[in-house]
Amino acid sequence: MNHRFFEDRIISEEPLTTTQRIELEDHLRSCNSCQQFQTSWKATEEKLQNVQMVAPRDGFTDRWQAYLATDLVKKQKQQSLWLLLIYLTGAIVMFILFGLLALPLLLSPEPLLMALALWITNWVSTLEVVFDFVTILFKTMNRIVPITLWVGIGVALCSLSSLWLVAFRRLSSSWRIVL
Amino acid sequence: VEEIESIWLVRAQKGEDGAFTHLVEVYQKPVFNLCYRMLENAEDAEDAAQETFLRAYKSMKAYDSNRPFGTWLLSIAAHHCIDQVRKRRLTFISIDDDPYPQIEVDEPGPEGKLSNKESDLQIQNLLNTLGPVDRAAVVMYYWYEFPYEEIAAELHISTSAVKSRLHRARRDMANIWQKDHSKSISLERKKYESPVF
Repeated sequence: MNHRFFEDRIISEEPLTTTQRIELEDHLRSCNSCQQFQTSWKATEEKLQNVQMVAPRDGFTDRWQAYLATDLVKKQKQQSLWLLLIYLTGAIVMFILFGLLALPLLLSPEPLLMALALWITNWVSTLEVVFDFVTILFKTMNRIVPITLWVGIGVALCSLSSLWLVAFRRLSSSWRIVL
Repeated sequence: VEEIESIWLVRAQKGEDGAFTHLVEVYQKPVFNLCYRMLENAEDAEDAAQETFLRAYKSMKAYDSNRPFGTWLLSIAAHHCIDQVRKRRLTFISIDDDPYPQIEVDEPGPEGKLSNKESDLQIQNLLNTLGPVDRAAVVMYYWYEFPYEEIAAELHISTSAVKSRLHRARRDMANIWQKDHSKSISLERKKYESPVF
């Protein structure tokens, strides 16, 4: 006997036609297995329809806020770690590239040392020329400009500086500044 | 109610934390219930429900306001729980060892609570025998009364697949009930006078 056919009808959500209903009733009268299946399904369905909704423990929202805060901290930590990793990778790559470029020079440093010595010599000779020029200029000026003129120029510069300071203080005083 | 909810939703979509917290307050029970039915114990259900709200919070800007918010949340919860069940399928967890959640019952007496707990455990044991997708379909159908089309949309399967999964789940649950209660069924049979519904 095909029990499955009738079991399908027992658990079907679709409404049965009158003929199907009579067929099922006839079958159930004679089949103990299908009767047991129907009883089981009825009990199961009753439980499914009457079972309560389950609520979480009190304070769920507070715990959720804490969960959100923890997640944000975790995310920030992850971002910081990623940033650190990127910087470290960049530094390592730069170091390797620099190492590759500098390797030949480090293996035979004579040309590098020679270039450095030449550069220092050039700078020293340039400084010597500048120093000679300034010395000659001062000596020449001393002969052309008399001492009284030097004093006059000094006094004039001091007066101008004082004037500038007084003017600056007056102009920057609070009553003159309108915001 | 829908109008008030939509105001909270708009505010939450604009990034207002307080508005989203209000939504958590409103939807905590249905989300937790689905997670509990899917994951068998309160502790895992709590974690899953928290994760569901976190995922919703992060995807709030992508949420389509034409869709009911509750359905969207339950869909996130169902998918998360399906993944969790698949991950831990080989691990056995005893229900008796886990803390029992709050079940809102009307009757105050200890007997009533006990019978509710027993009934709940019986249903939970039946659900545990089902595959994760079948379980999600059963929970959505019997607890939330979702139509087939909505279950199909939320679980990303066809309507006919939902029907066949529910049919298979009913058969499996009835068979397991029959095995567990084979002795008492003959007595229970007397409760139903007509052999057909």
